[in-house]
Amino acid sequence: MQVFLQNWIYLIASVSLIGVGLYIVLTKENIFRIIVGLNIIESGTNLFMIAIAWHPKAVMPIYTATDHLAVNGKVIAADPLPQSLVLTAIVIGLGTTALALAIGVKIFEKYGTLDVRKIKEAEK
Amino acid sequence: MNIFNNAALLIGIPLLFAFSIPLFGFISKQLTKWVTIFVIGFNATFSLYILLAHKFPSVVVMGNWVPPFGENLYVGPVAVFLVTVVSLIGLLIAIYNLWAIKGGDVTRFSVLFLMYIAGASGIILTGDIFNLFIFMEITEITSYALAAYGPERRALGGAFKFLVVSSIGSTLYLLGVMLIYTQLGTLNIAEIAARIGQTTPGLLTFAGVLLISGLAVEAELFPFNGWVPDTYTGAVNGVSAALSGIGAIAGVYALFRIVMTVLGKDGMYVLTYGKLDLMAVIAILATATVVIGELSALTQKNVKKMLAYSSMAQMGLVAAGFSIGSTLGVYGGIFQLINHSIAKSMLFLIVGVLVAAGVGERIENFKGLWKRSPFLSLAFTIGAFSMLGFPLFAGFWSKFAIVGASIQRGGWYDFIIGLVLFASVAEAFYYLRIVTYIFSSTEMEKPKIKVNLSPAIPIFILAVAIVAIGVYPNLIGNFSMQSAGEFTHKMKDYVLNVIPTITAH
Amino acid sequence: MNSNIIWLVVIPLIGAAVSAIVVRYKLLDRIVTFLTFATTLFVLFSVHVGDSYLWSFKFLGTTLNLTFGVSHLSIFMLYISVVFGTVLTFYSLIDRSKMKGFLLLLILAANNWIFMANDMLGFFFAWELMGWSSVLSVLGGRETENSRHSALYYAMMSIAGSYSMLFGIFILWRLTGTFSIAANVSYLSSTLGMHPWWVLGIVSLFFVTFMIKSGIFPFHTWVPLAYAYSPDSFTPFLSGVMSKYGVYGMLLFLPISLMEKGFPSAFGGIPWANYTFVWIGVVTAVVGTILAIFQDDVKKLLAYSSLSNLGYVVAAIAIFSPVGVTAGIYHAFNHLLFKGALFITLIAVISRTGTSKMSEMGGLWKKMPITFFTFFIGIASAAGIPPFNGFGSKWMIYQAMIKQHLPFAIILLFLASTGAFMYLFKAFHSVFLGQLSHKYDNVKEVSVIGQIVEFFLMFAMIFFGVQPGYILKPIGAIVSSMGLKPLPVMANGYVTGMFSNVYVPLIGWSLAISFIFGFILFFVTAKHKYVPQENNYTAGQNPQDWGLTPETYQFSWNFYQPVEKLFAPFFKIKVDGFFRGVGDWTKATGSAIKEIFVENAQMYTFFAVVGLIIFVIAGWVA
Repeated sequence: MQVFLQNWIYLIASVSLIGVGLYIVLTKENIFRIIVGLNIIESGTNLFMIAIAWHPKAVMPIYTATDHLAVNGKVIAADPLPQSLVLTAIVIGLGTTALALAIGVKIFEKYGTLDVRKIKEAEK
Repeated sequence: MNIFNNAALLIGIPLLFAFSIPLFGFISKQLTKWVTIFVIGFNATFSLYILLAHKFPSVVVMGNWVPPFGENLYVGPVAVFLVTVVSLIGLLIAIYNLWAIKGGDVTRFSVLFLMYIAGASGIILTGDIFNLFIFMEITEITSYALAAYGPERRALGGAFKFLVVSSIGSTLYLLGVMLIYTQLGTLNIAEIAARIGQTTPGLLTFAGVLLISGLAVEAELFPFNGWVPDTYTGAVNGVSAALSGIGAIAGVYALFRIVMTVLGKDGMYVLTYGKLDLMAVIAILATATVVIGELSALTQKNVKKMLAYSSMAQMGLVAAGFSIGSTLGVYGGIFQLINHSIAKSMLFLIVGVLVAAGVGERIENFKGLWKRSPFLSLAFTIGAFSMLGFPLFAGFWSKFAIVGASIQRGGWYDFIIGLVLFASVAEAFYYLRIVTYIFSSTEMEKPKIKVNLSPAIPIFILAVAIVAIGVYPNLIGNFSMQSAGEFTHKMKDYVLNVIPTITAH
Repeated sequence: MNSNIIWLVVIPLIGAAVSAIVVRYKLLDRIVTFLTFATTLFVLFSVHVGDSYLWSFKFLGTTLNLTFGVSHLSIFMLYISVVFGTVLTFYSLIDRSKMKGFLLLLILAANNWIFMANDMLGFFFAWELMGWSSVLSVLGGRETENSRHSALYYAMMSIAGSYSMLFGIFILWRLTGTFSIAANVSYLSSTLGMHPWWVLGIVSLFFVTFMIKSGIFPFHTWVPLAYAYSPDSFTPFLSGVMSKYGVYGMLLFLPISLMEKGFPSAFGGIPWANYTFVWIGVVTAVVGTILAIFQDDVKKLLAYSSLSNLGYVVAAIAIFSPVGVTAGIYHAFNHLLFKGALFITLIAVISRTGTSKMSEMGGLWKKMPITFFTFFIGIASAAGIPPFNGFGSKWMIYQAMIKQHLPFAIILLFLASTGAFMYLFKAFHSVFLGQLSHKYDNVKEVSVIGQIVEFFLMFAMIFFGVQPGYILKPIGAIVSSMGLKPLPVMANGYVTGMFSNVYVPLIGWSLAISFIFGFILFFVTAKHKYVPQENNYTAGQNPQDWGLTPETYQFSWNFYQPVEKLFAPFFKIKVDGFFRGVGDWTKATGSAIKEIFVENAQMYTFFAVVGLIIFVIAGWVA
């Protein structure tokens, strides 16, 4: 059915990355580990985006490419759009990570701890 | 192309000035705040012009790539209306910030605030689901930073919670977008909306669930709204006002643009494609949000936190209105969304003034406020009454419309609105408790509160707006009605305006 | 079309705006309020039955018609409420309580709108407007904390009621597609035969609201609180006018019960639902009476008395026979008059003495004779003593019940009436008779404006007592407009009845003559001297030895202690406790739910992920 499912190994890898990232976010109490977890989720998503655009037999999406390989009688070119989207996503991920790290440092300054469970205000 | 038709400026100008504000910052920190006001003022004027001169619907095409090939902005009734509201509320908050933002890095605050407005406008204007993601990220990243601003440490805790939950949410959204892309090979909202029937139902359901889960974080629906109380309470009041007045509009817009326009089927009531009717799912989420939000606020002794819970609950009410799926329901939802933005941002600004005056944000501190500052007391009462939907105030009409639409649809929506009304009684309790505190006098004479002009202007304008809408609801009502049509008749009012040649599949 | 009637709503709104601007200057505020009431009354003279006005309005995506129309019932209610309001605001020119004029004017606007609304949209709008402005009015009583609590309590009941009505309005809208009250009532009447229980359900959504607003059992719990702790000059309006909104609403919906087919009848041939309602009214009357007997706060006492009187009204109109409806509306009018007079005189007393506790008053009649006489006539009216106005309506209520063969209800109502004598005597005696406490030696009579109002009220109570025809004729028109056969028209002095007609002036004269004899005997025979409070019945002993203090000497100290002991077991049953229990339960649930949101970022993420997983599973299953 879907062409993109033929990249199952990458899809599984990306889903496992997201799963690992979620696991880290949900279980680690250190703020910086959580940020690393978020980053891993980010990478998983990026891999997912690349994986759906790529195909083992695809050619690069440039018109002058000559040695087309045919899949089911059709020439498959790698989809260029997700690749360009991934660039954007990476940049956004970078921004989020930078900001998260900055907030993390500030939290350590003000709360004196990196344990997320202790970052709580007393109920006033 | 006619410059006055180029709505891209609504995003471009704030972004341009946002990045050039540090230059103004070299001259004077105070100047950066004025630049913010002028730029948002431009946005407000321009969008008001488009709205009142009726220069819509139109499509703004980037680089002559006509949709569905290029990226486009769609300037429909919803977009113009919501952008106008966003920039007007943004303008008022910027005026308030003239007085409120004194310490800390004023320049960077101004940068972030302008970007926040740009991002929110972008979410509303864009016609492309990936661009929606980008603008959502701009809005979210700036709002983490804005929420972390301020001298208090609780701001940081709140911002971090927001960051973690919201990052996960946007990842889910991106995955959903990509799943749809694998099916249709396009990111243009109009084209996806027209061709959504070609997708595999199972995958579409999965994509829809991912999209909703991602967007519900911004739209503050349970169980994705854990960040709300802490972030709202932690942030400085101007930012809380912006989060509830601007961020909420953008979040709800994005959620229902995706669910109703992209995934929705036209008809008497909007339903969704896929195996699961996502509108029904949202109705359940919305009811849960209302009930949980109102009941949580019930015993809250901190006014700011109470307002945060109330925001959450009100967003639930808005979503409940939308999720009915009839034109009347969406109308009520949009109307309620606007009313909530006006009233809630005003309430946060008032709390800001009170905290700065040393009154504090505990409920007991509001005792005898009437003697100390009639202006703030009256404004707070007006805001609270609008929240409760009392007549002569804006909230009455929208709540009325939502209840009406819900009962008109009937079936299990009767139960939903029954629960919502029950929760509204709880809401009435905690708001009226404050109002009764305000008007009950204390023996102790306390000093009068002096309100500066800069916070007084926005509060006054918002209060007047609430009463004006309450007395003459069609001030907002007509625009809401047009907007509701765009949501409920997606082919006629959205898709065909963007891509005239397309046929639905 | 008569555009004048829209001014009945607009003028108070304008007045409210003006009054809100000058709210800082109390006297100016009061003058504006009074002038607005007077202007409204003036406009009311040009309004006649059958006038209507239509205001089209684009909302909810369609054109909605806000229709105003004046029926016989509405013009009656308009007149009594606006005239009473004018008198009250004239009195409040000299009043110093914290009543805000603009709130009263907002209530007036809502009042006029409620009585003129022909569509449920406008009715609900006005109802809510009246709701919130009266809640704010209750704030600002003498005792701040109590006043705050009672305002909140009242607000919660009132809002719960409003939402119930809102639900009902839209259910009807779904069924009929129109907001018109008349159309919906006739729809309900025509459906009654097919789906009696369904109709009953919808109507009860409305009736809950009306019962809450009128304070009918079991929704009476807010009444004593709100009446007792509201500003003194607002209480007359709350008791006299605002308690009638519920009655008005019930009268709008009661014609449904005319269609008896399909609906099972109870004893006496009246429909089962009406029968229940008669009993609700009777229970209200009895409960109100019993509770009133034991109050020490005179405002609370009169509040319970209001409750009991509203019980009479509801029991009467629920019978829905010609006599019943006539008697109900007549009693509602009488209650407005005498309870208004009582509360207005209490403003004078409380403003002079600074307390509303009966055990701290006493002997004030020498100091405030005109107030005393007004209060006396009010008490006599409330007790239903013939030459005064309360007599005719009670008498007719009993007749209506006898006609419908409701013996047990009558017995209970008689009991309530006897109880009414007990508490009214207590109020009368404790406030004005007995011995004057020394701290009130310098108390003065109320000022001239107050005296004018008191004379007017005395005159009204006597006039409508002696000449009931002036009020029974308009009521007859109302009754016939509801499709019932009105009672025969008699001369003005007659109270018309089922079995016989009473010529009240005759009774009045005979009573007056016997009173005059009594007074002559009083002055001719006995020698009486006045003794200070501490100087009675002590027979030369020092009362302090028995642990008695001066305030326990006051006559009203433990006035009805034996009766109280008799009823003590019943006081354990508290309806109030149920509502508070619901409130507490909701609060407890709220604090439990709140715990969701005091977690850390991980937990919130966890919630989101769990939510997502549930969705995915739901999608899979679907």
